This record gives sequence, structure tokens and C-alpha cells, in this order.
Amino acid sequence: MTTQKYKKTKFSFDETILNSKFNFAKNLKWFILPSIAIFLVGLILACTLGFNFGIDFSGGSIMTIYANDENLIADAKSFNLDDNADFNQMRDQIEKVFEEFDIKGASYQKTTIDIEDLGVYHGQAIVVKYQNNSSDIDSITSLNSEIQAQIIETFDYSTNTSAVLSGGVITPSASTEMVVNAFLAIFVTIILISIYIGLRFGLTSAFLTVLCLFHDILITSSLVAMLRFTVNFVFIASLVVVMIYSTCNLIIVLSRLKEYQRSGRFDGETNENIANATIKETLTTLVLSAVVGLICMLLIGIIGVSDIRAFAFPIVIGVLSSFYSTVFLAPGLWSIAFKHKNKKQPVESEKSQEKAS
Amino acid sequence: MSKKRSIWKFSILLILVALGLVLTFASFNVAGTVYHYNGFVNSIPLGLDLSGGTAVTYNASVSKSSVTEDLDSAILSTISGLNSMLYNYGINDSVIEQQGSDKIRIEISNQENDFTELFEIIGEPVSLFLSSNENFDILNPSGDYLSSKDISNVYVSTSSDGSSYGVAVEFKTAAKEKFSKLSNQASNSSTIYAFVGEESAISLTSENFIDDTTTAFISGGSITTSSSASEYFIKITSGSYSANLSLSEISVVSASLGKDALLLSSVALGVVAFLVMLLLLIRYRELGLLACFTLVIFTILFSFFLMAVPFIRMSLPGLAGVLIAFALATIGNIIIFERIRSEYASGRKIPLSTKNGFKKSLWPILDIHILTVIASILLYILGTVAIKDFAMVLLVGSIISAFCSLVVTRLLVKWYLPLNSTNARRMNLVRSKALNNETTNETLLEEGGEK
Repeated sequence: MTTQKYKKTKFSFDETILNSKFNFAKNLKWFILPSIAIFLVGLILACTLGFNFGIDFSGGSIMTIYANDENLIADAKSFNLDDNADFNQMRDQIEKVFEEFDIKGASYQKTTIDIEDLGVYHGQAIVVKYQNNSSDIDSITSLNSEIQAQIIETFDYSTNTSAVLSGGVITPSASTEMVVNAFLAIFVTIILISIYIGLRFGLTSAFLTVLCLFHDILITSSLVAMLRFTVNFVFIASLVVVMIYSTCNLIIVLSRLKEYQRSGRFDGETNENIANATIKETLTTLVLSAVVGLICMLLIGIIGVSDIRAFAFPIVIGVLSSFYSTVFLAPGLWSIAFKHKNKKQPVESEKSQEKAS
Repeated sequence: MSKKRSIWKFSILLILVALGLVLTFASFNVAGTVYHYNGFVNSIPLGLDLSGGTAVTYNASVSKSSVTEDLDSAILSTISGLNSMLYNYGINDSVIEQQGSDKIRIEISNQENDFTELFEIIGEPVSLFLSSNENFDILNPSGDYLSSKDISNVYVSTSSDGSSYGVAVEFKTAAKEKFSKLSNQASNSSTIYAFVGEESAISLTSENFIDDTTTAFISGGSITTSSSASEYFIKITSGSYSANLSLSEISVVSASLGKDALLLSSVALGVVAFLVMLLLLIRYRELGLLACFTLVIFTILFSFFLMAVPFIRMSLPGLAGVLIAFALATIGNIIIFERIRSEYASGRKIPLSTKNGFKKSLWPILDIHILTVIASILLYILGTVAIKDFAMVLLVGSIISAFCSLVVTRLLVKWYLPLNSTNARRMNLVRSKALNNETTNETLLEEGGEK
């Protein structure tokens, strides 16, 4: 009864996919082209322009601008930074100065100086941290003093120029060792994930996982280099998110594949057919999982502040790349890798693969 | 009967979830008392980038006696020393950087304890010398001696009989020869003297030299109580750094992500949750409603554990961890429901479809969560500060997500079935022509077999 009722349904996404003749496995050589193109452009850009490193990777400068000390800025307007309007007004004025010097993406922190050293006053201040435009220490120093002079003029602090303290250049807080360790951690994690997949789903799947995970991480890094997103320490966390997301998608497909092999439903079928049927039946799950990922990351990226964007947008790229690699690259790669074994041991190979795992 | 019971169960759950939501999000003064209740969400400790914290600046200098090191490399090694010292004090999200040519800037988030004193003591380093000469001149060292520069590790310890506190100082293996010389002299019953800063010499006997190690136990003089020992532990550690530190300023800083970061992220999280739930409702209708329940329960449990588990600090990478854990919990439900849909599509009845759906989605969901747990433990061990934050949140999140997908959703569907086990439309389940043809025979056999 119910069956008949639903036959009237005009359009069903699931049904359309299941009935489509689209071959996911066969066209690997075409599907892989965009990935290679993106990777090459990213590689060239990374080698020539480099990544747009954040302040914790590349270092930068720090400047303290006092807001309301009586001894310091008696004649000028003082700001009460606890008041939002005052804080924003002061910050906007500082931002304007920094934009004149073509420095963007500076961070502004409200500070209350508690304990004073000789020559440092009590009171509130805004601490500005920003990236240097060049790597030459002399030009940085001269630029910093120019900015300092400009800010003194803006706020009319001329009676006491020490109201603007240039803290000078700060070193990257992330040392090379830390960065190397982080990437090592990612690498070891990929290996471990593949070993687990290998034990659960067989060697071919482990090989597939390594390729797909590296694909997604490389594509994400390439696009980040292309789109000039900031690369800071949080970017490494977003690469890890991409990796986990990608693993999740692969498991959805691989477990369905394993189930088919076990049920014997595709005995005697070609690898291509098996791979195609698997992708078609898991596609809705994959699409929904990608949509969930995109909702999460796009929204937090659009609503959040600029630093949050620096981690959310790479993940958005990663989610798309992971969807692409699972749906368009994995079936092709799988059927190639599996065909090789089929030649040696026709039909039986699937079952022996199963036992090996 | 069974229907009634299901309704009861759902009503009780509804009340519990409502209560949980209040405990999670609300903050209120408990009527009639001075006690102020803070919801789980508001009690999660925040990192430097979301809440602000304390910034400390030290002036660093190199004493003239150590010719070998220039200031930059001295500051670099001092920073790594400071890093591990702060980590020992449970400050796991400090940002330490060199500022200018001769300053070190430390930023830590707001902590439960006040660390002002710690930072002041770090700024008062003392030197340590061990020598057999009672009139040893610490300004012009001569003869056989061990100095602060030979120290590899310092910790607070008690004497072997436990009667007094002291500082155990472990020397580098490079200084082993000098150490054994002094230790031999001590065992030949001549006294060795420890010069801690400007204090008068503390005499050490053979008992103070711990066998088979390069560790000396220093106790006596002004180092006898537990508090003085921990103070000197910091001072001696700080004195062993290549650069001499002196406190320049301590200041309170606001969130580095800006004032609105926390508010905006909370709004974004809310909108994300709303849209994801809407998606589930549209796609799965009443099953989607169950999934929304699961996600709400997930949110409550997750907030509670984020608050309760130590070493968790919500920072920007932590936020990424929250999002991916939420996504995992959602995807877990999606995998289950898609399975149920495809089981139903290929011709099974609703009860069997749900049963098979859960059975077949068990392992994929387990696999995903096991791998996430493995990955987050690995990242916690190998990773650096920002990654550790992320890994810890993800570890907690993935365990709760596994619980929610495998236990909560399953239970809810089990309770739901007595209420509706025939109307597929209410669950948006559809028969499929394509699958039906392929598997009719097999399905019938299977269905017969399972009953």
C-alpha cells in the first residue's frame, strides 16, 4: 500500500542518483586534473610568494598607546577604555593611522598596566600587535618610529611623547621546532589512521586513505596559498580537522564497500560497477555530511572575527576537497588498485582480502 | 500499553532535557541565598585569545662572565625554560615571545589562581654555587665548583627522613665529573658548601649527594619550610636560565581576538545548531526530531564535560574542536538514518529497517570515533600548545558524540517505534524502484530468516 502511494513522488534526489548512469570510477584521469592543476598553482605560488604567515609564525611589532594617564597626556583627550564607545573610537583612530602605512590585520588589546617599572606609568592603554611589511630590521624600526610619530600627532600627545611606546619587534612565538613538531604530529596521525583502516578494511583501503588524506591536505594548503589566507598556528588545527573530516567520509564509503563484498552481492561484477554502486548509495550521506561541515564552518567564518576566519575558511576548502576526493577520486583509485589483484586471483581475491583484514 | 509507556518515557526525557538546558545555559542567583549559579557554558575556562589575561614583561640580560652566549640565543633558551616551568604550574596556554632586543613577554590567560607572585619571584633569580671552599667568592669563582649554568633540572623535595623541605638540584651530565669530585669529597667527610644567592653558605654532607645520580639536595639556611623551598625552587630555576631576568611590568590585557569575539562565536554556534537541526528536520521529519533531541543532549553533556575535565581551555583552536565534534555527532545520526532509509527503500518494513539500519551503521560510526579518539590522543602527545587545546576538546567531544550516536539515538528510536511503526511518511522514508528490483528476493529471504 505505502509503496504505491510513494510511487507518485515527482522527484526524489536519492532515486535520481541511483538511476543515474554517471560513471564515478572510470573517469579518474579527468577527475584528477583539477586537483593537479590546483596543487601545481599552489606550489608555484608557495615557492615564489610564500604563504601569508601570521604574526605567530613570522613575528611582528608591538606598540603600546596610552589612553588615560594624567601625568602623561594632560592636555590631550583621554579615553576611558572600559566604555565600549570610547574604546572603539580610539581603536578606529589608531586603525586609520595603521592603514595609512598599509598595515592591515593588526590586533588591538585593551591593557591595564598594574605594576610599573621606572618610567612606565599607571593606566589604561591599547596594545597593538601587527605584522611587519618587510624583513629588514632597519626599515622595520624606521617604519615603526614613523607610525609612532603619526599616532602622537593624531592623539595630540606632543607634550609627552612617551605616551606611545613602541615595544619594537617581537619574535615569532611559534619556533621552527614547534612548527616542525606540529607537522610531524599530522604525519604520524595519517600513518596511524591508515594502519587502522588497513586492519579493518584491507591494504587497498589503507593505500586509498593515505592518498586521499594527502590530497585533501595538499589541496587545502594550495588554495590557502592561492587565496592568501593567513597561515598561523591555528591553521595547523584546521588541517587536522580536514584530516578527520576526510577520514570520516572515507569510512562511510569503505564500510559500505566491505558490506557488499561480504554479502556477495557483487560477486563476479567488475570493480568499476562495485565502486559506482557504492558511491551512488552513499552519496546522499556524503552530501549531507559535507553540508553539515559547510554550515558549521561558513557560519562561524562569516559571523566570527578575522582570526576565526583564518581557521574556518581553510576548513571550508578542506570539506569540499574531501567530498571531491571521496566521490570522484576514491572509486577510480580503488578500482585500479583492486583490478591489479583481480588479475592474479579472479573473484577469489575479494574474499581473501576480506580474510586478511 | 507500550504506546503509553513510550509517551511517559518521552515526557520524562523532555523534562530532564529542559532541566539540563537550564543548568547548561542559565545563570541566576539562587533565591534566598547568596549562592550564584553559573551555567556549564559560562564556567568553561577561557583561553587568552577569547578572554584576555595577564601580560608580563621581563628585561633580559647576560652576565659578563658568560662570554660564550650572545643575548639572542640566551633569550631563546630562556624562553624554552620558562615554557616548561609555566607548564609545570598548569599554565598550558602561555604565549612567550621575545620583544625588542632585550625583553621577554609572557601572556597567560585568566587563571583560577593568581600567578602575580610567581611572576615576581621569577624576576628575582638567584645563582647557585657548590664548592668545597667555605670562603668561596661567588663573584670570582675559582677551584672546583658547580654553578647555576650546570643545572639541568630543579624540583622541590624533602630530606630522606621527611623532616625538612629542600630543593633537589639535578646537574647536567656534562658536569658529572665535577659533581663526582665534590660528592667524593663529601663522602670523605669534608663539608661542601652551597651558596644560594647572597645567603650565607649552606653546608652539605654526603647524605645530600644522592647516589648514582647527579642530584644534590639542598636544605638549610632559609630553605627549610615547604613554602620557602618552592620559592627557592623558582628562584634557582630562574637563575639557571642563560639570561638573567628582571621584572619590567605586569599588565592585564583584553582578549586578543577583540572584545566581541566571544559573543560573536556564541551567536555563530547558536545559528549553526539551529540550521543543522533544521536540515535534520527537513530530511528526516520525526526521526530528525529525535536527532535534534540527541544533539541537544550532546550539547548539554559536552558543555558539562568541557567545564569539568581539567586542562581544557576554550580558545580559538578549541572552538574548532567544538565545531568538529558537533559535526561528528550530527554525521553519526545522518549515517544511521541514511542506512534506515536505504533499508526501507529496498523493501523492508519500518521495524526491520530501523533494526538493520542500526546494526549496519554500528561499525562505521565506531570506526570514525575510534579514529578520532586515536588522532586526538596522538595530537595531544605530539602537538604544541594550540594543537593541545584542540586535541583535548576533540577527545572529549568525540567520546560524547559516540555515546550520543550509539546509545541515545538508538534508545530514542526504540521508544519512538511503538508510537509510529507504519506511517513512513512521518519519517520521510521512501520506497525505491531501483533498489527494490535488485534486492527483493534477497530481502524476503533475509526477513524470513530474521524472524
